[in-house]
Amino acid sequence: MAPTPATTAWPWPSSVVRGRTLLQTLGAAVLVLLAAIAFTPLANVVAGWISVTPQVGPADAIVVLGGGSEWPGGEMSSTALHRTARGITLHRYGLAPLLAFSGAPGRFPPSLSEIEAAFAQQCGVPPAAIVTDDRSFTTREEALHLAERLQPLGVRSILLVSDSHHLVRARRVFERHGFRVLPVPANDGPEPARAPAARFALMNRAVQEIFAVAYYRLAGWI
Amino acid sequence: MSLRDLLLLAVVAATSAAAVALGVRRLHRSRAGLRAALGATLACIGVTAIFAAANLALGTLLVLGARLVTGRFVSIYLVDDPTWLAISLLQGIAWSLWPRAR
Repeated sequence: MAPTPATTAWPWPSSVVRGRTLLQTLGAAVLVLLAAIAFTPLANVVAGWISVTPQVGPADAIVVLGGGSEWPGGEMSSTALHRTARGITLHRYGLAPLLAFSGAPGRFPPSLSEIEAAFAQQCGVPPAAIVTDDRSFTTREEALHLAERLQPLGVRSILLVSDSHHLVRARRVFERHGFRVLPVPANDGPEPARAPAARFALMNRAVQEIFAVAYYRLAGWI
Repeated sequence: MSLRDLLLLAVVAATSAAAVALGVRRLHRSRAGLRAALGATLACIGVTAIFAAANLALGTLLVLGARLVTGRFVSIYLVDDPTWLAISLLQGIAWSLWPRAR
């Protein structure tokens, strides 16, 4: 059998020692990073960097972006429910005459936007004030299709409802398509995570958005 | 730090200390051996990180490629699953133990 680092006596080849040292250094760095995410406010700090400051005021329309999906029985995911509730609340305060829902069809009909519109009507929003669009699967498509639907109606300013992290990218995309955007987080800003599991989830969400913003910038969409 | 953080750290510290005491006193293992084992653990974590990065990068490329080839939307969130990390850990452990196999 050919000698391996595990079976030969010291000294091992220097390349093996260098490689092992590099791996140990990488492992130590990963461990330190994991500990920092789990036991320090690092996740909350990073999430805070990529969140938006809410801006609530009169606008031509309220736009609720699709979030998550619907469940087989036609229920909204908790993400979609938070966003829909925020949009309905803004409409009830009289901040905009139109309430637009964006949400593509999932595996189970009807589409998310139709489910949200039905819920809004049950909450007293008149059908004439509701606009739906179920053609979009990405944030960029939402901006494109909603511009096609709303701008002919004279909509230039919008209250944009989504999660705080998502709004960093969403706002820029919608501004690229000619809207003046007032961002309104559905979750009142990033919730401080107080347990290791929650911190990991928050950091995961934050890193996803950082990569998404980088991808949109590379693609020239923002 | 919250009570949950302190509990977690305290429990891990206690079980680790008990394991070291058991290993040294009852099983007659050396402290130098423990240092080597910790070094090997760090190297295993390093390999796991490389596998995790490779798995996620390849998964992302496959999703983007599928969009390009099929012209249909494929969600990038398909790669958002903690199972990737668990599998990467298994790959890292297997890779790290490979040279020791006889």
